[in-house]
Amino acid sequence: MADDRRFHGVPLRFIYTPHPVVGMPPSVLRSYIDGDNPATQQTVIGEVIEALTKPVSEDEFEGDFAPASRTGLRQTQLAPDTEDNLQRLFYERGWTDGLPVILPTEERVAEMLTGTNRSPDEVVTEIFLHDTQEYLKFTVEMVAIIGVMAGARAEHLPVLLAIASTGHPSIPGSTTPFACMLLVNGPIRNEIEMNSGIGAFSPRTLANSVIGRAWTLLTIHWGYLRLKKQFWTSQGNPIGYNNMCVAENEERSAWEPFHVQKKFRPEESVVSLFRGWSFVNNVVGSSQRSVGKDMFLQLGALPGLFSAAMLILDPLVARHLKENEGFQTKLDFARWISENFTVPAGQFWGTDLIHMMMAPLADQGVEPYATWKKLPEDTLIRPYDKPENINIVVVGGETSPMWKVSDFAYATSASVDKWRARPLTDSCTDGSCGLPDEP
Amino acid sequence: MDRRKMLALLGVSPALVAGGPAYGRTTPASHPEDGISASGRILTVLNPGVTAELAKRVPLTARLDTLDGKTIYLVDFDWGGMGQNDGFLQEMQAWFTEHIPKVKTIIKLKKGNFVTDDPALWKEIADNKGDGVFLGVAG
Repeated sequence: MADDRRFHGVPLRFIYTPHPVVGMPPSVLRSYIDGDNPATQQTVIGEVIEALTKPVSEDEFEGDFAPASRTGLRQTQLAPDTEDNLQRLFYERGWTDGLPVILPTEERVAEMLTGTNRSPDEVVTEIFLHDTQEYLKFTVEMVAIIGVMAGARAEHLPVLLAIASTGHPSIPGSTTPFACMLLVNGPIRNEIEMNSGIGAFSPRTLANSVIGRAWTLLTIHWGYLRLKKQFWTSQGNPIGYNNMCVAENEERSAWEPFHVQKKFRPEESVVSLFRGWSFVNNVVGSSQRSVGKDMFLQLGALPGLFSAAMLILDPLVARHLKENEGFQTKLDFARWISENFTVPAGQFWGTDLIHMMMAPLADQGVEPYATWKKLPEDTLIRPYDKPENINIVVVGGETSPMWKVSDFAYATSASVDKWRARPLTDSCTDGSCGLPDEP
Repeated sequence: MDRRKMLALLGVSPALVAGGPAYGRTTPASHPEDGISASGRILTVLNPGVTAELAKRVPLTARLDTLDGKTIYLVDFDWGGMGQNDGFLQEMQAWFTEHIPKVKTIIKLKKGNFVTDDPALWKEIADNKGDGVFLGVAG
């Protein structure tokens, strides 16, 4: 990020080539050079020469959000129209995730804004777009508009504002299928009736669904899904529909909550964001091997980039690991994974992602990678050398000892409390959220 | 006894018996009396589009009037991490040799991975009076 900011304000001329480039034979690479830029349909070599020789003009970088960006005027309301036409407009403008949205009428947005004590004009985050060299200032009101579109309620708004304040996209720009996960800790979970129990990841609970959806709608409005500009993912990732938005089952967990591990107080409400590509479910229990040894089979399918992994354990599994296998804390189990999971060095370095991101560190002498790089291919190494990068959260309804293993790395956490309208009553401390009120 | 507390004492997750969606409030349905269907009614909605400010920028240096006689560095930022990802640059160098033989192209490998800075390389290019840099290629 430090390097990123340093190069802000240097409007380089970007040229896109067909993909993939790495590993392609010379004849294919030559065809790329002679052929077209997939974004502009101009020849790549023609654009290279133009980038070096075409005089710079004042309006060269107009940005994607003009003309309002130039005039400073933002049309606050769209032209009145029927609901059907507006739904079509929103879709055609690329403002949706492909699903119909709740149209953001003034009344609905005003109701949404009651969920915070912040001014509608307050800037929540600034997003920088590398390709257009534009800063987007996202206000509280804009987040509220997105919240309405996602189907959220006013009580969800503090969580949405916390997410927005991080500036992290749920779908980062890449040709690969990036995905993200959103975890909520603290009292807000029960106040807004998030699901941390049965089917917490399934499409059933309002709060989980709309909060996760809103993060992607924010990402869309931050410019990350502009086709062939920031959005190049070859296949995409369905996780992006709601980003595995979930609450940790703190009440049934054998261990301390994730946000407490990150030095937040237990009574604080916090969102935590994670980024990766994939997750693997276990299917039944683990009776033939230990839980950890079963997890090794799943970890073997994941890259282990910079030791990052995410273990999502049902409370039954967490309790078993603590009471029957002696792992008193999440870190205890992470250390056991770190010390016992091994792969051949050749398998590790043969993973393209590992070679791209970690081989340069080995070349620079950073340990243990420098040593690993020199080992024979069949020598076993322990790729999760940093147990603190193995994230463990407890989610589930205790109907079966299930878990998920993923390559998600921890990105950041943000306070929800600073965005609240007022302290809410904790109405659901026993983990029984989801029931209608008593008659 | 409160139903939720009873279920908790029984060790039954309340979600097992929950039959409805996880929200307690309902919004009254609108019942238009004017004969216009909900989808046909005219709505005014707020604009979800954002405004942007162009970043203050260091101006691009003036472009070259010609490539003839110029030295262009083709810098490999090692996207694949293999240290051998200069195939594209080699083909580009070959193209220039064939089509614009009066331009000199020099291929260089940047240190670190694709996000790592390499001030020594930039200094070398400046000291050798390089006229332009092509930095790539990702993907």
